Formats: sequence, C-alpha cells, structure tokens
Amino acid sequence: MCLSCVLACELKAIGVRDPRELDLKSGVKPPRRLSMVLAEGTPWPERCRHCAQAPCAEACISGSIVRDEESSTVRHRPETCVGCGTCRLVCPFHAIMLDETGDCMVKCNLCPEDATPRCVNACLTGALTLSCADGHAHQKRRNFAQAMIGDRENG
Amino acid sequence: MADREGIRPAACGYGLLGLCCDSCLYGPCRRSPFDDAVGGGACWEDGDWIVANRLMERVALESLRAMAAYRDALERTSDRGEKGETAELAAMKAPLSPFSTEKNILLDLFSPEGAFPFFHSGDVPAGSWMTTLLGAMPPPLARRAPEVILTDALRLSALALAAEAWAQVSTDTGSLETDLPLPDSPAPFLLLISDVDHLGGDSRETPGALIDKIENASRKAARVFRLPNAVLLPALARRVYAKWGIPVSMTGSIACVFSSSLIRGLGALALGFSVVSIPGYPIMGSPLVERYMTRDLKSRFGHGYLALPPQEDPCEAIMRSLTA
Repeated sequence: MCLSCVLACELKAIGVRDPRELDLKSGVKPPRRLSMVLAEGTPWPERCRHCAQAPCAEACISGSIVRDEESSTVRHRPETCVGCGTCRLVCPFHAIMLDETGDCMVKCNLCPEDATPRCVNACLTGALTLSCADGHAHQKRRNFAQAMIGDRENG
Repeated sequence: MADREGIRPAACGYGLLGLCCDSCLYGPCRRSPFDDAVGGGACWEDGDWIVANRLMERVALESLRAMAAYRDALERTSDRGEKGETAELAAMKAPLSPFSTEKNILLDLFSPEGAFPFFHSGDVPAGSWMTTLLGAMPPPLARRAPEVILTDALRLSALALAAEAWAQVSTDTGSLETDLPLPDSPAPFLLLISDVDHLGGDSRETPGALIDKIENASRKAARVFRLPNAVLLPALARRVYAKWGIPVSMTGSIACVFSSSLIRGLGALALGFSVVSIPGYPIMGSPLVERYMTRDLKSRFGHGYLALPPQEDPCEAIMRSLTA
C-alpha cells in the first residue's frame, strides 16, 4: 500500500503537479477524496464507486450530485452544494467528506478534465485501472472466448 | 477498458519529499505532507524526524561505501612495500577502527577552526570516523531532534570528503592542497563540481549542457571554477582562510554539485559553502528541515542550501544568490 494514489489525488485538488512544488508553509489542506484502508489485510481504496443507482444523488437536497450516464459517473458540483451532509449519511462506501471550510462536500468526480484520473496514473503497480461499469465483465468474456479459441486451435 | 494515457509521475512523490521511512520492521511508513498532527505511523514519529532520519540513513550508507574505498586505498598503499609505504599508515588506519581513541587524522583537514565555523560548532566528533558514524546512528526509536540528526549528517559527509582526500594522497594521485587562482581581495566564486558517475537519470538536462549554461550565465558575477570532484573543498576552504582571513561562508561562494551522492553536497555545506545540488535533496516534506538547511544555517553561519523548485531555472537562482 504505497499511497501514491492518495498523494496524487491531494496534489490534484490543490493544483500541483510535482510534489516538490508544494508550499507546505502556506497551510493549504486538500480535501480527502480518496483513502486507502486495509480490508481484512487487503489494501482497498475508499472512494466513490459511481453507483448506477446512486443514493447520494437521490438524497441531495440541492441537486448538486447528478449521475452522468454518458460517462457513467456520479458528478458533484461544488458551486451549488450547501454542505448539508445528507449525501454523506446515505453513502454506503464512506466516500463523501466535508471539506476544510465546512460548507461544501467533496467526492471523487473521476477527474473529468483529465483523460485518466491522477490516482490511476500514479499507481505504480497497476492496481488501479479505469474501466467502464461492465468493463470487467467484458474482459472476462473476452478472456474466456480467447481460451476457447486456444483450445480448438490446439486440437 | 481504458489504459493509462496520462503522464505517469517520474518517481514516488513521498520519496521526492523525503517522507518515506523504512527504518524499522513496522514499515515502510509513508506520511502525508498535509498531515500536520504530531506523531503518526507505527513509531509515532513526525514528518520532520522522518525527513531528517532519511537523509541521515543515506549519508550513513554512502559513508560506509566511502569507508570501503578508503580501506582499499590503504591496502594499495601498504602493498607497495617499505619504500612506497606512507609514514602515516598507522594513523590513517585509525579512522576505520571502532575502538580507536587516537586523534582522528581526518580532523587535520578541518583546521584552523576559524576556517570551518560550522564544523567546529558544538560537539566536534572526538573519536574515529567509524565511532562518529556509529554515534550518529542510534538504535531505532531513539528519539533525537531533527536538527541534531542533520548536524551529524553534515559532519559525517565532511569527514567522508576528508577521507577521500586522504585516500587520494596516500595513492599519490592527488594533493591535500589546491592551487586554484584566488584574487587578492575577497570575492565570491562559483564551483561547478560534476560527479557524472554518481548522477542519476532524473536531472532536467544533460549535466554537461547544464554546467556550460550555468558557467556562461555566472561568469560576470563571480569567478567560476570547474572541479572533477569535491575532495579539494577542504583545501580550498583552508586556502581562502589563509589568504583572506575569513571563512569561505563569508565570501558568498557557491558550490554547485551535480551528483546524486548526498555526501558530496552535504559535505560542501558542512565546510562552509552554500550549495546548489542537482538533483535536489528530498527535504521539501518537512518545513523544519528545509528551514534548518536553508535559513537557519544561513543566519548563523552565512551559508546554506539553495533549494531549487523543479520549474525554476538553476542559472537564475545561482545568479540571485551570487549577487545578493
């Protein structure tokens, strides 16, 4: 559990690309949108799962959390968020936090402005990948089909 | 399935900041630079201690390698028989002994005291090089202030440079003195020390091109000397003191060290030179360590480490420091 993804996410939140550019004396605190925890000894990223039926989006009283079907993500708009914390109460993954100012919630938006989220880029072992909602199922079917073709070719 | 398309970070962010610690079997621990709570990790140490201890560990590791090189040089000297054998062989062996109570021959290079105010401030290492190293590496979880750890790391680095100089003399390939032409009156000078063998692959430009660029940019502001290694620095500091009567830290001179080896740059810093290191040192994760290396040393002794942000042009930073 190298936590490179967590650092990359924090740096992205404060607009810093290289950690050596950090000015720690300024006292800036990035919001925590991604945490790593140990689930029965296995490292596990605690972040937004972008649920197909997102309880946070249903519970949001200001309409700040909406599901974008095109990109298959649940997006949070801080401009309209009032920080009531309802989304945090209903989130089953503890993926939504209150920011430092205390008047707005923060969650992973899957870096819509980047081709690939920073956490995925920063993961040096490839443990974090970006895939569609049913990407893993596709991959499993493809692997199975590949295995079947291989069997036939081998006679 | 999307794959990684963005630019992958060049290196581990925690490592670049110095916030990685694998000193004990509970680790490796990594500490967020934004976590300012006291304590944390398995041993409850804070980020300042982790950064300082990380530097100390690297210096100790490089010191062990320097000791091995020093021992090899002594072996070569003693193999040459009675005629070529140096008269000081016994004294030169003493720094490697963990039991030696004799005067450390390496300390001869740091005299007179006035030429090396930082090195002689506080408790000067009394025993051999090896006992100094052992004393600087206390058992795990022994709590020491980061400033004390950094002072030990700087002194150990200077001792390693002195040992390298002695080793060169013992093999007749070098001299303990330097004949660099110094002007009659005190003036800042810039030393470009390129240690290409030790330079990692994470520098911004090729070392040669960057050295030329810095030399051309700084020539009007200061006298520029190129050195193949850092072993002449103790001799140069002594010469400056003998000629101008002031320690080298008072001249505003800068040593620009192109080396991934820590002991060369930190050794130069301990000898009184302001130091620019390319690549830079992993100290940005601790405001306390950064302040000690840059501002505290500068205010107390007149020299310090010039930390270069990754986007900053080294030529501009050096010029700014030379003309300040």
